[in-house]
Amino acid sequence: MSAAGDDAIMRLEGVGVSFPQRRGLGRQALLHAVNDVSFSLQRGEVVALVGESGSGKSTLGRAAIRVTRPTAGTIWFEGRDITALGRAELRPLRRRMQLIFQDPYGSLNPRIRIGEAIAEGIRLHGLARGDLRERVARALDGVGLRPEIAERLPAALSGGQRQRVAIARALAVEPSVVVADEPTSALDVSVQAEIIDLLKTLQGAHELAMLFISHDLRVVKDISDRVMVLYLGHVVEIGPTRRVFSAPAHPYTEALLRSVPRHPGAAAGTPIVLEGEPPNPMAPPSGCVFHPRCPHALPECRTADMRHRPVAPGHGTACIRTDLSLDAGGARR
Amino acid sequence: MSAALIRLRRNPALAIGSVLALCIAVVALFPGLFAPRSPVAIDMGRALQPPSAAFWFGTDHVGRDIFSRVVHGARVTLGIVGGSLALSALIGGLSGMVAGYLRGLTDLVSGQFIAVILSFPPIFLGVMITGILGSNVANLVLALAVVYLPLFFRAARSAAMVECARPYVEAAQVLGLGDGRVVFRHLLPNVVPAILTQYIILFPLALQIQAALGFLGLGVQPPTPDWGASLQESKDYVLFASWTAIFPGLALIVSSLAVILIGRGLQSRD
Repeated sequence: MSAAGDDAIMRLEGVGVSFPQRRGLGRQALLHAVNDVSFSLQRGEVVALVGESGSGKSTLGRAAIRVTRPTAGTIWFEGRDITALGRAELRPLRRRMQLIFQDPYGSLNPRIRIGEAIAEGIRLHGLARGDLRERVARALDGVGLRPEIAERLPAALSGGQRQRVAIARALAVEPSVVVADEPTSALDVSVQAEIIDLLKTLQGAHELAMLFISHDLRVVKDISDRVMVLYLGHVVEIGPTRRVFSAPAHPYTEALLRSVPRHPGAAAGTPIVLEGEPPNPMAPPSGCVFHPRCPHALPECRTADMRHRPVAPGHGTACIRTDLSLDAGGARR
Repeated sequence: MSAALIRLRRNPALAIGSVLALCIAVVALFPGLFAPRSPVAIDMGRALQPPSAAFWFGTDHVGRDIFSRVVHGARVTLGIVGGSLALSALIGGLSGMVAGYLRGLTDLVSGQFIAVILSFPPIFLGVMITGILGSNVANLVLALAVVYLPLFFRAARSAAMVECARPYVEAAQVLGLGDGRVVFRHLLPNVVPAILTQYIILFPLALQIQAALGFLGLGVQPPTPDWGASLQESKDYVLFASWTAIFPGLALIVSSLAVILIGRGLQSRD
């Protein structure tokens, strides 16, 4: 899956996103939300972006499909450089790159009927082969909803149903890349698993490449082929999910994995409590951005760069320490 | 239907306002059914008669039946106010919505233009426009529309900005819809309530300004039975023939009240 073969549907090289922030009178500073991210996404592959709130995972996901514009680096999509395309040039590509929103209560227009919401994209991109109603019914069926729902307004639907509709709408235009931005975090726990299962099924059936943004590591382990761990806008570790979960190569990943609550009786692992708060992204620490909170930090970490070093095929870390033996604790199960 | 009735019973302001407005609307639409006489027929022989069984609201200084004038005036006065506010809502609402959606230079330029209009007091602006362009119905409608344009613009702009912050707008853009479709298909239905609210709030105010302009002789010209113009014509007789002023004035008050009650009723709903 992570072979270097050029089945890559999307490739990011040195992508950075920064936002100008006004500080006081006239002074401007840049908030670097995402720094120097490079990776590629293969056809049918699920890459998870994990990290705390504010780590830049949503910003990165949105920049990748050009919902926002990156301020550095290059994005290749289906062999084409889409980094600097304008809105009009992007419009035909929108069909191939879709976004599933976090909040199904806000992402559906309260005054547009479900059927129309789904039909809109199909019609816009000229995909209505045959009967549009039938297309909509099929899209609804694909996410396990009955066709009658097409006549309803979003207010008449539950959160889980709405998220199914949002998924149906995104997939109805037959995208090849989907960014799922925390698609379950606004839902009841009982519904989350259903939505994840649905996404997994659809992802497999349509051979979708997916960027799955989440802070729920259990879900990530379940759905993704590879994981990218973000901290303060930097990718600190990237690798195959199974490997990262069993043999993390970055102290931050280790801390994240150890913080996952475990079932009673699972292998014991002491949670690592990180000291302090994530630093202010406007004034990131020097060197390795994680060093002020890292339990394994050395003096060199204050000046180390964040360049990745390989620890295994397809597995890289930004940590300079090669002498650590990190333990994922019970999350390994 | 019964659900609507129950809702009205729980909300007396809305119920009373709606019934009043309905009655006024019927009168305004079919004045011929209610007015016993012509609103413009002069008969000096029966000038300034007090209210009686024959002339319910009395007669004015040239013997016209005030009841008939008030009934026919409903269409004139309310039509001008309603029409000019609708024009104002259409232009101000649409431009405000677009400015709130696009932001940037469009927003800045139109916002400054709106601020210029807003810097004039409404009555002064009304006097200026009708005074310069001439007193006729078309210019009066234009004046009222311009006076209230900024308020519709601002209401629509802020509503559009609130809606744009909600993910469905971004979702529509991500789907690949162009700005036009996003604005008119997605934004518009969610901005219309704010524009309607503004319409209801402004209706009594516009009615007052319209009457004031009529009173200043800058609105509808005699002998058209406009309520404000009727007040103006009554001003020389009001001390000894108060009915000439009271009934057109009451018509203005009751109409304003009806709209205010509806507004209050809608506000307190849920």
